[in-house]
Amino acid sequence: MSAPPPWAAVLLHGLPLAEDRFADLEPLAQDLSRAGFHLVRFRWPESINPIRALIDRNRSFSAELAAELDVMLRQQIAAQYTDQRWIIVAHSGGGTIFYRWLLEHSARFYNDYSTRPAAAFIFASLYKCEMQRIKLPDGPVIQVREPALSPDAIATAMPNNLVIFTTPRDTTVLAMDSVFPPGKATHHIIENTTHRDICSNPVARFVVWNHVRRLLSSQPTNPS
Amino acid sequence: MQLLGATIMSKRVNDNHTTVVEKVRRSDQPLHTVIEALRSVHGDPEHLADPQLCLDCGSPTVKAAVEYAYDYPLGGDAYLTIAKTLPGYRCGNCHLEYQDVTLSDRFLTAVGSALARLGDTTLRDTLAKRTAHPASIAPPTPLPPEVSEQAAHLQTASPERAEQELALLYGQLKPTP
Repeated sequence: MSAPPPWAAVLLHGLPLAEDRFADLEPLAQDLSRAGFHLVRFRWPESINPIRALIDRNRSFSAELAAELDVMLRQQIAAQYTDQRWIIVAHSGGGTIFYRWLLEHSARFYNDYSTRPAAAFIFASLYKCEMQRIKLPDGPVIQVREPALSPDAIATAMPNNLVIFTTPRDTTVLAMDSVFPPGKATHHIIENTTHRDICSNPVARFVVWNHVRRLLSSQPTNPS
Repeated sequence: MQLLGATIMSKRVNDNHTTVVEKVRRSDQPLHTVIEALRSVHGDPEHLADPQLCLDCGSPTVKAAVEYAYDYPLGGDAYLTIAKTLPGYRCGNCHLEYQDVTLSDRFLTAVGSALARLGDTTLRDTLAKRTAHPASIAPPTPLPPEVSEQAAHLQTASPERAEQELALLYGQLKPTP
């Protein structure tokens, strides 16, 4: 059995609007694969209906899925990708799940395995929803009763290399709900993109490349 | 939180009963202007077809109307609760699937304007923030000049050319073993 590649990229998709849940992330996933990253895809379990969890005051879609993400990371990342040799790439609701994981699971995960993501690239993801509803790209409006997450606490849990991408044309995840306060995260605005195609935009992918390049050059060679 | 008990009930009678209930809950403030705004934008409730069948899937049901409860934060301990009961019967599954698509921008804007006339601009300001440019919330992180230059180039390159260049760049990255 061959050894796994030295780096992994964990992909988190958003609300499953298309048949291929990872379609919006696919060009960037292929970029990272070309660079030698092992791709680990977090697929939301069929047993969780995210729409119902969003609506229900007594449930939280991000909390339920963050717990599932934690299980997957423990199974597929913890033992193989030590020394922080893994990154997160998340779109829309996937980013919200990752924020929740940072707040509720990452400290224990680090305590157990001494590893955390070296960087997180988050595209058009909300950490709060002031309007308590979002307009999906294909038209419907759904209610969102998720608790607001603290951007300060998220930034504290991921002090380095939290990189968020936003677009002025996003009518699904509004800037007021997704942009961190100044100084809390690296912030890139990708013009002329929408909620769906921001991850596949060449400029966004190039900016990710620049971050990854710096990340790889700053990592010491593993003596083993 | 003080419940003022301002409940607006507008009943429209047809073959069966239809009731629309809207509540405005605020910690203070007179409510007549808000009530007026709510009335002015409210549409007619849908016609009740068959009270014994789910209006969405047609399966027999004893469950009554869809009820919405929408809390809109106004700042501090104040918020606006809009509770709506739509006519008709829906089964448990369809009831859960039902979305509050009737809470239109026009409705919220009207309420925001009404509250602003009463001296509370919180809702109107929040609504205005919906179209805020990301840079007005936090400025973008500057890119190094050479990176910024290459990004500008990719923005204007043809899709085929951009894909070729990205493939080359990512192919050159070498994770250390």
